[in-house]
Amino acid sequence: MAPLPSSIPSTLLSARAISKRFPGVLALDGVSLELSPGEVLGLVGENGAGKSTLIKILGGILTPDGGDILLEGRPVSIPGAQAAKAFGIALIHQERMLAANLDLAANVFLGEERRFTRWGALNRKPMNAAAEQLLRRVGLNFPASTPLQRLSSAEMHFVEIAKALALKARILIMDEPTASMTPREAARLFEIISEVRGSGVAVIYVSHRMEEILLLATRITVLRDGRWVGDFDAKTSTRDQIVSAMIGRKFSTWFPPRSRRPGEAILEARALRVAGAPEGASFVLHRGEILGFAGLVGSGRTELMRTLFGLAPSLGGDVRLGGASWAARSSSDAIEHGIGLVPEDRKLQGLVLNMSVADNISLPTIARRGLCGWLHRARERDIARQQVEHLGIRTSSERKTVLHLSGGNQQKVVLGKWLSMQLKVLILDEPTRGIDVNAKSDLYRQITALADSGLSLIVVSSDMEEILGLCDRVVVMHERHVAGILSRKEMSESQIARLMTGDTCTT
Amino acid sequence: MRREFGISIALALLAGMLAAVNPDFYSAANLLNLTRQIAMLGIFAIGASFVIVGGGIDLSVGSVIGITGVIVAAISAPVGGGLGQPLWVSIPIALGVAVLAGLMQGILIAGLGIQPFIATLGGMLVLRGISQTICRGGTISFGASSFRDLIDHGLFRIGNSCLLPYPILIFLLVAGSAVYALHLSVFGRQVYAIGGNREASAYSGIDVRRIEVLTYVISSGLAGLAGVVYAAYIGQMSHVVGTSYELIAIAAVVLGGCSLRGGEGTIPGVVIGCAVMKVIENGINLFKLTLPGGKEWRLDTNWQYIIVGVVILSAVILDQAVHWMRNRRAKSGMS
Repeated sequence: MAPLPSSIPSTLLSARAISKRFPGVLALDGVSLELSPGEVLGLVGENGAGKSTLIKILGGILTPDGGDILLEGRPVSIPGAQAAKAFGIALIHQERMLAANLDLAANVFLGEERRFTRWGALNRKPMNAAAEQLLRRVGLNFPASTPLQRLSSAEMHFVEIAKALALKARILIMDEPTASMTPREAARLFEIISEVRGSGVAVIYVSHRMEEILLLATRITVLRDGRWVGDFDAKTSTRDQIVSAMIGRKFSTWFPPRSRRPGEAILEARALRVAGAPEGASFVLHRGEILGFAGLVGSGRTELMRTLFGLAPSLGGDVRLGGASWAARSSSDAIEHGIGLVPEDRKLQGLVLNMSVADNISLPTIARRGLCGWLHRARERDIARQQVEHLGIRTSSERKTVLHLSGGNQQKVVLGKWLSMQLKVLILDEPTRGIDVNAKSDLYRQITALADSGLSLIVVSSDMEEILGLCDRVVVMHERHVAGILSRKEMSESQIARLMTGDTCTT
Repeated sequence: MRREFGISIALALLAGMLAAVNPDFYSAANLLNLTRQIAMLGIFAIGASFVIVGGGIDLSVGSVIGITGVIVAAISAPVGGGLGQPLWVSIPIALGVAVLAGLMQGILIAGLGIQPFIATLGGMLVLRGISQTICRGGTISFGASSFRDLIDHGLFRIGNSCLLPYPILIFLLVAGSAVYALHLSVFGRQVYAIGGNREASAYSGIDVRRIEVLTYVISSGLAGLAGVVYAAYIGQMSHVVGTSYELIAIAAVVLGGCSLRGGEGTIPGVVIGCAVMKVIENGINLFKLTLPGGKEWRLDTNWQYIIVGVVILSAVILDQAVHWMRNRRAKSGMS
């Protein structure tokens, strides 16, 4: 891949023909990237395309095996995060780089305390004042002495941005910043980005969300399989152009058509109250139906699902399963009654990462057996092989450790755990978070096929497109209560958005 | 099994070297004694490995060994402070106390969510204190009680000694059952699952708390069994018997390939880890070099802890390096 011409004198950062090899895989193969002051560069690609590797190289976390990095035309090497900091490059990770036990000021100036010392001791007054000024700039109106752990996940992200501003960073690299943000918080993030752009800071913005990329970016660089595919002008390119560049083929329909109408009621919640909810939630799930649950992060959807699955206590109300009143006492009780749950965090909740594909798939089955029983390893592997084939899990063997699989394939293994047993209801909490476009299409096909085969599904999702494209009906939640239930005909982006943000005019 | 393989080779090299420098190493008496030592360590190290594979830690093992021995002595020793009651009374009581200790610690950990380190540290101190109270700070001797025959008697008698004395027989039964429980049964898979990821296990319908409690019961129960064997072996009990044995067990388990992160390790590995620990101990006594001029150079036995410490640190550094490389490879496959 030929490097881009870089005759523009105003180039702040240019990476040329960067290569990085990990044992057994060429993660980056001659990738180039240019960044001018005040520019927002959207960096997109499927999982495994090399985005993370590239930004880690620019942030000094990884060292490249080949290629040059030029900062204002001068070749530099970035051997560590400290060096990146010195060059004015701030990398904001998906994994937080904050200390939860410290207060906001201490976090904003983490590693920079020397600026506020007097006779060797920390002088908190000017430090707090400076921190509060930065916090206000990112829209956080907390006193500097607030403990970090009191903040929400999204607010912590803004603290990270304040930390970057404290370093007077010239280049801000953001990796999936809106993953845990509400639309309002995301809007604030976009404001901050346009503000820092105005002061000449360049931003590299990595996201799976195409709408954000198209809204924010001035230019878009697409990577695929560790290679540079192309640069696109955000003004003149369409979404389909970029997505097809990402996946390497023409982008077809995401959501397969439904072939079957929902049947009788299977699961019914009547004023079901969960911890922290002001009132009970009521809804009905029919046979073969895909019922969406829309809402902001923290609107109580996950807690409601955990209660249905027996992992959180019910504080009142009634659940009817197949017409009979029933409350899950534990997750094993729920599974016994044919309810499965694909949790929102596949690595923390869905998988035992150091176990094999086969061992993970058999876990719910194993959990239902008597403790003294023999393991039937051959049968386990047979069942796993069926799921690997059926779901198209890309792995060399069902004995491979799931740690080594890509995100989309890991998610299919979590799904496989439940498909290997007889279920009535399958709950999917954020089933496609952080997985690439191809795997998403695959999962949508699977979910639709499951519904058509008569399984009833609940899909909790923060992805509006997913809700609109996949679900037969949608329950919209706002601040831990059901704000409205919309049928397929009533479903629209604006209607759902209105309900989930608490617009009082409900249906 | 890669790590088990590595540690087996280390064991073979160690034994080969000892045999080369000192023929006493492979004398029948030394081998029998060494095997018995390995077996006695193995009984409670296998117990501790259930907890460690399940992602916990049990610091009370040494105190459980102490208290069961003290209980057997206090009830059954014919003279010197014992009540002189039969062994069929004392041994079940002692084992019952051990199981109860494990159950209570398990409930503290799984039911109340107290950190395993703290809960079992508390258990370790309380049980040690009870032993001390029973002994009143002194010793209780079994004298010439037939209880002591447990050590030398057994199966396949040849002359005065047995090919398979009871401690080794008990160990083989324990190891065999442990292989079934941890590697061949549903229970074992669930132990690995909760050690690998508690959350994911709960989301899969595993009763995490029940499994966790059971691992502590197994650990304490086997420590109790080891305590009975040690009581017979030593012949007199004081409150210091078993002190810091939990650390020896943890060391053996880690050497044998278990990770304190949980979810990793095997029973054969643990047994080899125990063998390495005891061969090192044995080797420090037997190691000698004949210097030019016919003089003999022997290891200072005071070095024992230094050598054991260095061996454990080297093993975990190696483990860390392997883990790091594996993670690196995994990351490169995904991101």
